[in-house]
Amino acid sequence: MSRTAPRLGPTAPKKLVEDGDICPVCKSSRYLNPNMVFKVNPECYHKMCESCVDRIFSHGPAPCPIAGCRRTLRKARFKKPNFEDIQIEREVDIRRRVASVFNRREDEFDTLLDYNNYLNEVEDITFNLIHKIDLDATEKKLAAYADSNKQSIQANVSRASQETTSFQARQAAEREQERLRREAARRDDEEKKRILEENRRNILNTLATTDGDANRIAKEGQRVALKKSSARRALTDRRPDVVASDPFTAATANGNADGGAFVIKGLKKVVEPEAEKPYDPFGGLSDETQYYVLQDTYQYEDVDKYMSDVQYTAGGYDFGEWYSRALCEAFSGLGVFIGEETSGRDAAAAVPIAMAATAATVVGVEKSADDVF
Amino acid sequence: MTEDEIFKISTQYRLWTFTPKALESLRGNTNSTAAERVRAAFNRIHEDGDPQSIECLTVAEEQKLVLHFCIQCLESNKQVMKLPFNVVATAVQYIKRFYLYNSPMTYSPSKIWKAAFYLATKTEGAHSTVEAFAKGFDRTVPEDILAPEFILTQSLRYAFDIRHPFRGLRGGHIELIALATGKAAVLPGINRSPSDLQQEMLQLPAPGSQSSTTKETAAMMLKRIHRVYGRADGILRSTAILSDAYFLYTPSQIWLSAFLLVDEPLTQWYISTKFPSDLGESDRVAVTKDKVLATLKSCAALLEAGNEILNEDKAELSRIARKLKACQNPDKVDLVGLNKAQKRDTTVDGKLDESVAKRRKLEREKVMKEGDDLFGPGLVKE
Amino acid sequence: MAVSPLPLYNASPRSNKTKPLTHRPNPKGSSADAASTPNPKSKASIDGVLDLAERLNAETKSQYIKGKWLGKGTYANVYEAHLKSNPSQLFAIKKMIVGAEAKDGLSMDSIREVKYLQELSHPNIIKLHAVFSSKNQNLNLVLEHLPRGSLEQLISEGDIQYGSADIKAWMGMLARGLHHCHSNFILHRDIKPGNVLVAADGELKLADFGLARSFADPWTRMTYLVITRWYRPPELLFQARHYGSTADVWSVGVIFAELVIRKAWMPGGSDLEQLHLIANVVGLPTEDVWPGVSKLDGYIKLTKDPAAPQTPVQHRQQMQREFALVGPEGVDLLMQMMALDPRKRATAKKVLMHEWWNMEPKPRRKEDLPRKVEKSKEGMADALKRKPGELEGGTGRGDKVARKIDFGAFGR
Repeated sequence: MSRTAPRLGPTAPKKLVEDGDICPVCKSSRYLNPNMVFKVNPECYHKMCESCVDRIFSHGPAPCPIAGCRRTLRKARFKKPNFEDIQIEREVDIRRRVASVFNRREDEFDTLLDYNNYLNEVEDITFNLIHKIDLDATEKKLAAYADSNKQSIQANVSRASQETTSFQARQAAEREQERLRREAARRDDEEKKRILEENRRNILNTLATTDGDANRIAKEGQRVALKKSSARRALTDRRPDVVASDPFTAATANGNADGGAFVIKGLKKVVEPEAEKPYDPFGGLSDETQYYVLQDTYQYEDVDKYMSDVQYTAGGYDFGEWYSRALCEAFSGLGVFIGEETSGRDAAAAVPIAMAATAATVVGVEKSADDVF
Repeated sequence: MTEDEIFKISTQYRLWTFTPKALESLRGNTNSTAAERVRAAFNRIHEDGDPQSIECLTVAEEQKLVLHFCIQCLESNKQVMKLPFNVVATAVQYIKRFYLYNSPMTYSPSKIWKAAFYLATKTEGAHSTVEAFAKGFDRTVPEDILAPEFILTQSLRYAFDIRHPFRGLRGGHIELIALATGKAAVLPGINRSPSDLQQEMLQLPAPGSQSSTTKETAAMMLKRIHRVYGRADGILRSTAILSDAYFLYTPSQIWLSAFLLVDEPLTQWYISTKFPSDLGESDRVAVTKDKVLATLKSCAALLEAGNEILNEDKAELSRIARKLKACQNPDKVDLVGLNKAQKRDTTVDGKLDESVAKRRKLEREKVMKEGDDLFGPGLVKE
Repeated sequence: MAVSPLPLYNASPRSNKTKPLTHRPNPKGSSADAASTPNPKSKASIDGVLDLAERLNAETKSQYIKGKWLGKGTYANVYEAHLKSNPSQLFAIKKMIVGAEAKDGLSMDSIREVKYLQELSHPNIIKLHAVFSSKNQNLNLVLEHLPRGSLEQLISEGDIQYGSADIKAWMGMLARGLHHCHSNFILHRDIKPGNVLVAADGELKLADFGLARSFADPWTRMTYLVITRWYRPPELLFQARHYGSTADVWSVGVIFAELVIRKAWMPGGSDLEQLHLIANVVGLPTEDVWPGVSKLDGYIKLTKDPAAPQTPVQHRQQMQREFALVGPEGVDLLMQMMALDPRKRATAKKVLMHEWWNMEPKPRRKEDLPRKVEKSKEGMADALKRKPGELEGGTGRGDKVARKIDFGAFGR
């Protein structure tokens, strides 16, 4: 997306030759050689023309040709500057480097304040780098953070790329739906016109063939047309189109390791979505019995005499259910020892003894004058 | 949910089970609170009388009084109403629960027991209109039965479900029959086959004797089981519901203790089949066999002690009745009037026109004239 | 447990202006006058001494603050309420309309509702937190707050879209709730979409235990006039006096079908018409399918319309066509729940053990279940309040967070 600054329009009237147009190394100027391109190396940001760069650095790293700058530069690092002003170029490079490392997003923080603090710290680091305030301490901090948060950086990078791709996909899908809708509308109109036409035609030929009176036939024709169009409309609009929603599951990064010298506070504790447990229809409660095993049949003459009665069998009375209730009630609470387990019961049961014993203060009864009874 | 869990979510367990100490202190408090209210009420009415002179009932006397009306409830059902037994068993529990939080001095039992009985017919699904129900008692107006219902449901804390041991007793009876006929399903932990269990069962000593002399036949064992069932059922239908068993123990423990009372060896053996020793590590290890047996023994003792509740001492009862007359809380005697007043006043608040007042005065006179004595009218003989 | 009005009222009458009383403390005489002269003017003076029960009741009542009126049922008014201690926790207070002249005292359905709700506690059954009675002896049930309406609305409201995964999730919750009732030996006997409410977190809750009862012993007869007619199983329509838990399963089966076709499945206008609908839609109740049915009191010889599927094979195909959304296993489960013979019909436990639950599609998670869009009245008020030019739904924090320029994009 970057665009080199096109050298459009007349050169500045004031100075015949822009000082930016002369290569400090080989002093060739743009005036003589219009397609000269300047390059810069992020090490020392000294500008030089492309030919000098090729000439000096093509056989491997070499010191910077500008006088007094002894840094060794590599050809691969050279790049075309995006900005006129080298300072801005340098600042932007630094900011890009820092941004590529500190790429946390707002939703990873518990509160807005935490996110703002995080941005503030990132800005401090960038400021130090740009203005070279205790440069190596800041560099160390940057490097330490980078390697201790490799995973979250990676996750955010992939997330960002996914967002951009899905954004484009969504736009394409919308365009597609737009096209479909237009087409459907067009087909609708044609259909309507066709029905109208057909209706008029058969009104005419009924008029021509039969000798019935005109307006009855016309009214008949209109009724048929109305019925046909309403049927068609009911067909089209009842189809519920479920909008395809792309569940964009954010790949949540795990919390940052606290090893790095530089720790970010306020990060949300990212809970790993636990693996999808298989659906347990009983919802965790299983009804196994402790003290008895239910038999399928019992002999119990009080109940047997009903078993053969059709009013019970046809009505669906389930004797097994009654037996299971009898046995369950036979042992329910056998293991419950009231003496010990008072915790299970809510406190209100044991009436707060203090409450009961409060002295009964009798409120003085003011004498009301009259009494209706 | 296991059987114990099913019981643990019941209101009977959550709201209405107590340790013996808690039960005692609760009754003590109810008594003392009620006594204070009576004295407060009296000194408001008779400026001159000194409140301390009124002699209030003791907790023990209150218990006897409440018990009398529970027995009256049972009699009324046996002779007149003839409703299924679980209805009257529930009614008795309602009365006992009501008098945990209230005292007979505040609300006279002679009125509460009919309301409790009627409420029990409704909650146990044997309901009838209040007029039909009132016919079972002579000189009882439907309002008398409905008046205390509001304070009754409030004191029961709206826990209407009572877990009785009767169906549990049947469950035990069924399983014992299956064991005796060698067709019982065996718990996973037990490694004895149904027929071994049957043989073991037949060697059990007769109730009361230690060593087993003769080997019983299956038929004799069945007869023995039926007899034990019959007598245990008798215990459950009398002493169990009249004693504090429902507050202190769970229904399964109650029927098993009744069984234990009647035939110790059989019950001991039956319990042992329920707690296979090689159970291995399971939460039920904490519920060991001995702990259960210990609980059953203490419950059996309670049931045995309950036997002599049945033979009431008439003289003692009338003494308590006279004493109650003296210390009955004046506010709460006319429940019907109170009930109406409160319902009416909330609907028509503020002004009360003359005619309504006069009609109410006459009405109250009428009820007073044929007011019944403490024990209420005699039972209507059909 | 009301703040019992009794002390409020009878405290006042003891003003000493009553007629001079005989000194003999005849409880009948004195109390009668004293007790029955509740003088409304001096309602304020409260007899400090409350019974323990009244105190308990007052304590429970004081914990809840009643909020706005939500709606009116057949026999109850429903109010919103919240805990005094924690206003964020919402409840619904159902105040039963106990007419002053209710002839038999507390009505049967409020007794049943209170009795059985107190006994059950399960995530798919509405929770009864507390019961107290208010001034004029009305019963107040403090229930869970279920703002999202009932299943009936989810089914009938056209704009809510849902698929088979949602149906499976809802049916799972309903079946679990029913299984919990049956394992506590309680028949609900009034299951219908209107009685299945949706909680804020999307969980379904079985409510309205007004017709519930516990499983009957063989020697007691039960009424057959239960369950709303559209959801009533054939054995009740044939007036059986002894039936089992599978009667409830039939109602759940009908709900299952209605979830799929999103309209009433067998809307019978009368019992007879309902039987005809069952004969045509589910199958003809004959002796070979249902031994002994002709001996039931209310049995009527039914005939099938020629149009309805005649042979079982045709019937299964027709069902599979109509309920294709839930797949062949779903239809198989539905037909097991709709078996005519109650003994052949699946019990709640068998329903939960059916294969359909572990088939694809997996039941949807509770949070993502479609829900009734809340017509929040405030939404409109906010719209009016918003300053012109401000973006609708703007997060309003534009100025707070630093605009993060994506330097990464340069020079790529």
